[in-house]
Amino acid sequence: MRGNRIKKAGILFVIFMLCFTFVSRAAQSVTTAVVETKKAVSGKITHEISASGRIEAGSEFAVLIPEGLQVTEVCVEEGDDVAEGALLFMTAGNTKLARAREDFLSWERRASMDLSGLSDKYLQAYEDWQRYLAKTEGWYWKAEDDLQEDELELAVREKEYEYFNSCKEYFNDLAAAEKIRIGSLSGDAGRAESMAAKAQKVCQRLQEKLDTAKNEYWDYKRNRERSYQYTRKDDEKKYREALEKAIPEYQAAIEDYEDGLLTKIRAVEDSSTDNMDENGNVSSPVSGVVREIAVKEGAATPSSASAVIAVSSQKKQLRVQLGADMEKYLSAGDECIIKKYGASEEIRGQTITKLSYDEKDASLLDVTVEVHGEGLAVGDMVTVDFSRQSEQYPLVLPLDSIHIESGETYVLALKEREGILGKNLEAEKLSVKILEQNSDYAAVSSDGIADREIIVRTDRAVDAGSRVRQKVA
Amino acid sequence: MRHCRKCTEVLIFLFALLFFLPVLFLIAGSVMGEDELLGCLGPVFGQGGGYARMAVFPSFPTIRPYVKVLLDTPEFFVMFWNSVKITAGILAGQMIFGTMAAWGLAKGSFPGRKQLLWVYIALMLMPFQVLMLSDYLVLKELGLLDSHWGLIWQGAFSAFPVFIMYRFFDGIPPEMMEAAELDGAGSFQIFRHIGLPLGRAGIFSAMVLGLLESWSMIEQPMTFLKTKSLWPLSILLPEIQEGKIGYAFAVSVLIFLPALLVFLTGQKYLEQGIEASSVKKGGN
Repeated sequence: MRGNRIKKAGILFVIFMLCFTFVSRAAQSVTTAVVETKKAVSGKITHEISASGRIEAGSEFAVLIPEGLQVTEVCVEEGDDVAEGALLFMTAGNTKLARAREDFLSWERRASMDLSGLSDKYLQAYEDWQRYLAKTEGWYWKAEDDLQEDELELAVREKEYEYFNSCKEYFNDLAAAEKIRIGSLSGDAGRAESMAAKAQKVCQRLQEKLDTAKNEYWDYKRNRERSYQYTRKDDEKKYREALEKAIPEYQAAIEDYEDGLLTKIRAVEDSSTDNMDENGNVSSPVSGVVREIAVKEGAATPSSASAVIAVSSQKKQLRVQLGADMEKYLSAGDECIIKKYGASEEIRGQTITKLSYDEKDASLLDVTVEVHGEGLAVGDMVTVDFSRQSEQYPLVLPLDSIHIESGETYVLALKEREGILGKNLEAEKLSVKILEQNSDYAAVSSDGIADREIIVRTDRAVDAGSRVRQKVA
Repeated sequence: MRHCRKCTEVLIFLFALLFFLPVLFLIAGSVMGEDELLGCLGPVFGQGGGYARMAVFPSFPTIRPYVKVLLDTPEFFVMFWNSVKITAGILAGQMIFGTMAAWGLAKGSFPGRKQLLWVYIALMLMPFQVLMLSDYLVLKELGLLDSHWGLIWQGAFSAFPVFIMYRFFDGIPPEMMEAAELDGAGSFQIFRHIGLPLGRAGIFSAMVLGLLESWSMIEQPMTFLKTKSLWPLSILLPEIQEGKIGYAFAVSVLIFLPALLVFLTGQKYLEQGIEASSVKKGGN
């Protein structure tokens, strides 16, 4: 009995284990994620940007007239074709301009006279200074000439002295030689001696004269220089002070005149307009279509444009706004495709002519596209598609396969692992760096993902190390 | 006398309980939550000071460990059936080759029979570590490394069951064999119709002991099996880690159950075998 019970227990245990073998496998297959994979391939990242807008005229003319004028009659409506010179609206006249002009003229007369007076004063001081300089210079040069004459005379005296000194030496030598040669011949020796004595006297007189001339020369030179310096210093101070006073006065007057002139001219410009005559009639400067009229009868003219004329002779354009981060994908000269709302035809070959940041909001980018083609008219609503392809990248993956967590960018790749259940696939985390991306794909750089199957889609959350099953295509 | 007997029974019961405590802890731990287990066994894993303790009755019992084993761990069943396959193969081999070897050693009359028996006994006494290298080289030459057949063949020719069955076959009276020979039975018929039935107790004893040994062997699978999908259940347990204690206890209970069932099935024969050998010794 007991043995039978034990046998039954054993059989039940085996059946129990068999059942749970299948149940656990079934539970595991339910909890194991099924993944779709792809390998990283070589490719380019294409950036497709779309926007919509309305076709505009290539250029527009804003009619600006002074603010605050009362509008008496509006002669056109928005959408009207107007020719150059056509009457747009009438105002009560531009009195402000007339006043500004009179004010300018009267100011200009006064300012010119004041400036002229100061100019004369400055010129007089300047001329006095120049004359003084010329006069003192004349004195200086005359003194220089006198000094030169004295130097010449002195040089002559020195030459004479040298001559007689040499004569003296000659006669001394001659006397000595005669004494020796003739001996006691008193006649020759006496003559030689008397000539030597005479020469010596002449030399002494000359030496005295020379010394005197030298002293006189140096005294004269010193006196001349001293008197010149003293005279020059006093007069110079007087004329220099006059000039230094005149110069800043004159310069300040010039600056005041220039400032005043600018202010007055600006006032006249603000009050004037090329588009309005003296009677206050405003006409169109160009031929085109009236896109906007910002004035009403009986109201005052605004500070902004009173009217905007779309110039019909110019080319058509499309202006759209995109996020400023799109700038890196666009550049002037890029081609784009335009499609009219409700139409399937694509008009290719349109080019971007200008890219600029919005003046009021730097996070917006204004893109201007030059539009050609017969199928598009001013005012049509269109969509525009921009496309930019990057360089060729060796590893491009779908963006769905890339995960970012705690600042780390990674992908999950399949890894075969030998386990108790045999060869299993599990997810392995591989770090990558995104080089460029669009909304669908990303170019990455990484070591070791070139030939790996990267998990792009799963039916449940998968972490690194999770067991997975690969979906068979 | 009766009082002494009662005291002896109580003492024996207490000793038995002492030996049974680890099994109680095993069962209790298999229904405890991880937090409670860490609270008891934390010092074993370096958490907290003091000594590990164990409770017989869990404060917050849960069957989550069993759910984890039975539903979330298909590896357990792969290893379970590996163990079943290996054990069944070894037992079948021992049944075939061990019984015939034991019969030949017990009842054969060839020269060197006694010496061969001593060789068997010597082989039986050698631990696995001594024979590991030679076994490895032989299996490698035979191309049986990293396969279940390597373990099965190695276990099928084990010396221990031969020794157990030899004792039983040796107890069969030779007169019965002579009578069978006179009736015209051949050697194999005598072995099949007389030896096997009369030696049934020994065979079952050897099978039970062989199953217990092969069900829990660790060294041979770790040495000869490299592929994880071939590992038996006995290798799963060494992976006890912090956070998997309850799971390890549940696995241990499930591993223990088959062995318990087999033991209970063959307990009668084990007792008969022990009794028979002691009577024979006394008789001799």
